[in-house]
Amino acid sequence: MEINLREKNEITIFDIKGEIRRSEITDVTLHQIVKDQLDDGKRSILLNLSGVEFIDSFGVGEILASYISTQNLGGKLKLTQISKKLYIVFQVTMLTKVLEIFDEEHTALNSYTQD
Amino acid sequence: MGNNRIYRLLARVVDIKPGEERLAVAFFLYFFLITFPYHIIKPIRRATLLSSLGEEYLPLAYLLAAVFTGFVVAMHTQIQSRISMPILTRASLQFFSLTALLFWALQPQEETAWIPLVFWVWTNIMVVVLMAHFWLTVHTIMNPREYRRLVGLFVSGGILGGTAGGLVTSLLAKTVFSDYLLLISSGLLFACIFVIKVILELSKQRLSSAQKSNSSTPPLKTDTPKIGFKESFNTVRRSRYLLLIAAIVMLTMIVSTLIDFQYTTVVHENIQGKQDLTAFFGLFNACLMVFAFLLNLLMTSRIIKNFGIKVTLLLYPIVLFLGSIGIGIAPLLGFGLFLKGSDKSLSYSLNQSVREILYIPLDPDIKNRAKVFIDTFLNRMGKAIGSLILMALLHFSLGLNAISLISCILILVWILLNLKVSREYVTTVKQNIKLKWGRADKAVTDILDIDHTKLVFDTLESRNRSSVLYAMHMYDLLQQDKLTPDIKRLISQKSDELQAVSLSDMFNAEGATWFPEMGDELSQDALRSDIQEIMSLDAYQQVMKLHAEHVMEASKKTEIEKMEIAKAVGMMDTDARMLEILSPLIYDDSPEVARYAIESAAKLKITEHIPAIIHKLGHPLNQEDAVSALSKFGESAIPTLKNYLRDSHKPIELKQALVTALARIGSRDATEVLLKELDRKTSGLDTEIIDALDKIRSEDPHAHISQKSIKRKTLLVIKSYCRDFLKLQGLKPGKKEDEIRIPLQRQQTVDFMNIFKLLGLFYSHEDIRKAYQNLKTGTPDSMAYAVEMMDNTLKKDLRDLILPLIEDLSSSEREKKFRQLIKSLD
Repeated sequence: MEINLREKNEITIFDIKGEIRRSEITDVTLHQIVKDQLDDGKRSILLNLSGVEFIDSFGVGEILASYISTQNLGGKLKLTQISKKLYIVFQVTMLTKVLEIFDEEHTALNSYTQD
Repeated sequence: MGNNRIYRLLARVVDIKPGEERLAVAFFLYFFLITFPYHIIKPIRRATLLSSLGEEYLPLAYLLAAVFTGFVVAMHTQIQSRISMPILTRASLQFFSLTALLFWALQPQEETAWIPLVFWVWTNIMVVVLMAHFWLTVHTIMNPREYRRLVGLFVSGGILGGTAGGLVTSLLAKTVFSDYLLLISSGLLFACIFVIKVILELSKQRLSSAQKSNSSTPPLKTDTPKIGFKESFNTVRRSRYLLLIAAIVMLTMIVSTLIDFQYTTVVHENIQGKQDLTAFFGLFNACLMVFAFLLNLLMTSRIIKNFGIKVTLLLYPIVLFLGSIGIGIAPLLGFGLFLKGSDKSLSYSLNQSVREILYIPLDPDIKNRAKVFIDTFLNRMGKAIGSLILMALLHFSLGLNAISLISCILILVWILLNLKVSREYVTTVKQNIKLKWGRADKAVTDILDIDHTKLVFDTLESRNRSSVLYAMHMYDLLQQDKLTPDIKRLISQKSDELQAVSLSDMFNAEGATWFPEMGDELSQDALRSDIQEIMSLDAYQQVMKLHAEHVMEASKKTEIEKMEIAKAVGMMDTDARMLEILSPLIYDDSPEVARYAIESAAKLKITEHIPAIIHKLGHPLNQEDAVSALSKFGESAIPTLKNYLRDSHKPIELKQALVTALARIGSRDATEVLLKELDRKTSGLDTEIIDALDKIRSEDPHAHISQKSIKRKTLLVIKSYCRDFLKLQGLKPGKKEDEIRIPLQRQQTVDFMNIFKLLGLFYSHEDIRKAYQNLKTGTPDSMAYAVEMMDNTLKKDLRDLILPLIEDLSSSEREKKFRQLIKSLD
């Protein structure tokens, strides 16, 4: 798993590539990187999953933990460009009831200003 | 420069912010120019009535004034629904200025019986209308915190105007200029129109600059909504809070009317003649105003600030209660003056200020509707009821002592209502601030079954890894009755991938589809008992144990086999031989193997496995699995968790995870362990423990949390926050200093949040959360309401410590207050 950070309109975008699974984590976890951003005062976080092929239960735990940490500080964590296959899994497991997921990055970015 | 001088001057006496000085002075003048003429006219009308008709006409005058004022108020609300407030305010002043001129012209005919009565009624209407306009203008432009800071100054303007009016009247009443008093009043009313123009101009400037600096600032209304009398009445009728205010206003006016009669009777028994009476009433009013002015300037804000709304509301009726007892026992001039003096001085200062505060938390539309009805119509109705009571008492020839008895009874009811309204006030303030976000952990667990979600992902993943794992996951889904049609469809979507032949064969003999109507063909209970039966066979256990030992000895290639064994152990009984293998599997280097072993340990709940699970808390890839497993152990894990938490050799990261596990357990014992750890100054886990306690409290608002240690910690965090603030103030700009500044600022943010989380442990969790969120991300008004709520919620000792942290202060003011605060905490 590879994570690159960039910023647009005070929103920190995580471009994630590869698989978010336990066996793919070598150094720091996604949740730890999100917590570091929150410590820096960032409160708007967007996970761009366009390069993510697979997520295992550990990955789901990481996304949920990141979401909880962000929300508890009054921030917003959203997801964008998730694959169709993953979206169906998210729907069936009701993750879509908790997480805000957008098709396109720009619509996701615009949604932060409407909150 | 000029404004700076005014600001510096005003800042000595009131808590004023730079930029507010012009508006504050304008409001001061506005009130001054209303009360000045009124206090000229007032002694004239009283002396005219007494000398022309006698005090027996007083109840009639009260009644007529009440009836006609009620009529005018009804008309006024109609007019108000058609004309904008600024226009109406100026038109009213023009009208009263011109009619004052008319009465000045009619003065030679005042012996005519109707003129003193009409003059009495006109004065009443004038003061009611002009006062209502003044307070409506104030409430439209100011927010609650501005109002609290500046109300003393405005009221002082009114009191000073009253003093000036009384003095001018007493000085001129016995001279040749006495005939010109009404002319002076007319001129003063006319001058007031120009002050209102200035106020409206300043408020527009203020609005535009506020919108520039904060796009989220709601627009200030310079116009009031169009409202009718019926709507005003219905607004009051529907609100318990407004009904309480209405009842209090009515009682205040009834008692005030009874007191006025007692006072006037006592005075008329001692002083005769129109000029002497005018001069006396003028002088008495002036002295009264001076006293009220000093009281207001020196005491009102302090009393409200130090004792709060509740005590302030009680002071006025209690003093009147004592005065009424006095005059009831001995109807002397001294008691009359004391009673009337305390009634009016407290009414103009304390009561006026605190009553206006009661309106502040209301929605502006509701406030405008209610205020017109209560302060004008009900106010007069109170007077009318008071005058009817007087008429009845006079009819039965009952004296001042009977009036005192009635007053005392009414005052006792008034005190009770004041207690009720002070409670309702806090509730109303709370309604003005909204909870912006709740704790997400609770929200997520309320919506999602996280274990189930993870199981679905594991099932999907295992399709490509191991048919055995896949079968076991499917079995888990079956066990939990979670194999819904949606999930079946999802799992069977990619049939080209590895299939769990064994299980699909069980579901469908032909193997054509994965999940045909399996519910009809396969009994879940039968499957469950078959599996349990096999697993409990001695032979099975022996064979599987050998297999497991072989796997454990083999190289990393056997990771999947270890995962399968780890998962299978969780399906066995707690006395199975295979269980010996579980601890080594938890300690396994592979996070995947450890995860399945931890999950199995959580299912079996054998306490011997707890140390191994705790060991995995230190591994980032298994931390969440271990926390989740320990929370499933519940109470039985607490003693071990406590020992590890106390062990000074354990790394801080492990202890942080232990705190998370205790928070997840959330029981009374877990809370106790956390509280004891928080009390230890050396733990270094304050933020984690405070967050854990906050989580427990948010999930269970009735969770028992000892206040003593929490309060002690709150004081320590406040002190640390103040110290960091002072350190930051001492830093100069520059990159080198940034190395110190940035961590300090971060610590301040954390401390501020922790202070509120701690407060939420012994005050209403939701209220404190609301206040914190609005203070951090609210509009100026919602921030002001948050401060107001904290001011009225916290007990005095904590209030004095928290308000300097959250009030809108300049850096130098805050620095000064923080130094005092640190000193008081040392």
